Amino acid sequence: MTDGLAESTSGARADGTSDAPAIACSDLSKRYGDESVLESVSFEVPDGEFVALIGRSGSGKSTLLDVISGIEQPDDGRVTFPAADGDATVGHVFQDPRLLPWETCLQNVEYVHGDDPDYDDDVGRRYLDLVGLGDQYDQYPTQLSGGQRQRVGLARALSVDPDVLLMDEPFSNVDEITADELREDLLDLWRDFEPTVVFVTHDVTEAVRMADRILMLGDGDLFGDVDVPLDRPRSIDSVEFVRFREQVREQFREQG
Amino acid sequence: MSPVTRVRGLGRYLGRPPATLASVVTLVLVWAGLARGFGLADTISSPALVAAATADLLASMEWVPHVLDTFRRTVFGFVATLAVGTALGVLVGASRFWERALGGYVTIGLALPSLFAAVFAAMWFGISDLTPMVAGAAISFPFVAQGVADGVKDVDRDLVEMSTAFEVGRWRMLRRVVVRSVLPEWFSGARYAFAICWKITTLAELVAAGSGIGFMIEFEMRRLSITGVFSWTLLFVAILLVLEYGVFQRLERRAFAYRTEGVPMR
Repeated sequence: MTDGLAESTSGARADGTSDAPAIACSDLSKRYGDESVLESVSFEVPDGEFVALIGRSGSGKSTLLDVISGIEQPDDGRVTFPAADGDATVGHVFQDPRLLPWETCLQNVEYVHGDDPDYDDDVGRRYLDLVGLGDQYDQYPTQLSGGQRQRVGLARALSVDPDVLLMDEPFSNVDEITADELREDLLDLWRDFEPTVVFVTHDVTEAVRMADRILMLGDGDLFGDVDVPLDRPRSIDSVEFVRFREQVREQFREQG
Repeated sequence: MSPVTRVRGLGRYLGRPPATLASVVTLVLVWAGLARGFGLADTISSPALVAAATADLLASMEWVPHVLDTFRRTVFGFVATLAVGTALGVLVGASRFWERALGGYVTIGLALPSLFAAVFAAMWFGISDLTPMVAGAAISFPFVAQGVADGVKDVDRDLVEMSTAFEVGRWRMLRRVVVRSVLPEWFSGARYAFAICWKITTLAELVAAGSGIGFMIEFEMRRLSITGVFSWTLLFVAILLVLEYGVFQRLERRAFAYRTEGVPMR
């Protein structure tokens, strides 16, 4: 481990006991043909923690997220959700928002609720209001900007009242100014709703800014797990921020 | 006011783009020129003669039962087209096995000359409603099948994955993702297939029917009345244009409004 980066102690208490984690991944492996994408990946995420998963392109970040979400099945190992007695509600925010183009913003939020008797249009409107789309209920995705479409994706994910929120590079397809706004809005919403968040990114600055803890993935192998020792709110220009970010980058260069 | 300005104004008044109006006027002028200038008045009736004969035809209401018969046969053939074409398209689009087994027949169907279908149907069913219906369906169903197959193959896998990730029920996903994804291609294929059905039904009526637009064209042909043939053909084209612009395009605009609403912000 690089000097200055302390290994994460997430989930462990001083007395040796720990609360049930929100996510527990045990020896996850995944292969596509002869290519191994994940190699015995194990980690736990405590309830309510904001974890960033960083790695180069092709390191297996998105595959790991797909395995956690159930889109892909692992070849070995398993994923459990102990804090929710194994039955967690999982929300997803994708890199491309994956909205139904023939449905309005409100219909896109409603789509993932099936026959849920507790859901009605007022619920959908409330979440769209939360993400700043109170005037766009009846607009189609083609009428929205990239940032607005991603906000609909976020509203959709939050509307299922998730125990776990999985986010796969959600801001990589929008401009930096919009991404900045979305990051701040996400942090506000995380503080309000307190889901456990797994946030995939290739941007170390974004990871340090957003997360309580950073997992580092390289060639399908988890080689780094560090707590972010910075108080919130964080300034990306502060000495502490820059120092910690460089330490993370250094570890990447050495081991990633 | 210049002639160009007059044409533009007339075009706006009629609600049609000036270019379309100009092309129609040009066509009529060329037609009149051919009929008179080359001494082909007996072979190509002049626009004035055809207009007069068509007006008489419409006023006589003689056309009504024949148009209704052709329309009825076309609709029945079209319904069969949609059923067979949609089912075949789903199979071919969704399964490699069925694509290999049946895809070739779709390709052959797309290339089959219309007259073959009309002649074979006439030989099998004689002078009956079935001849034009079967001929129309036989030629047009591959267009629906091809459209549906392409649509099924082009279903956005990301949307299917998103549905899986959110544990959306299978039927809900089929209805709101798969069917909606395929709908534009299905509609496009169906619209084209209707036009083909209309055309082939009329062709088959020419070969073996006791009524209909095709039957009347053949009747006028036997009377050596070019004017009569032109009049019935004009009626045939006019009805198709009314259906295309008055029905199909309106349906398309309503069904797929999401594709044209606003302009994406950058």
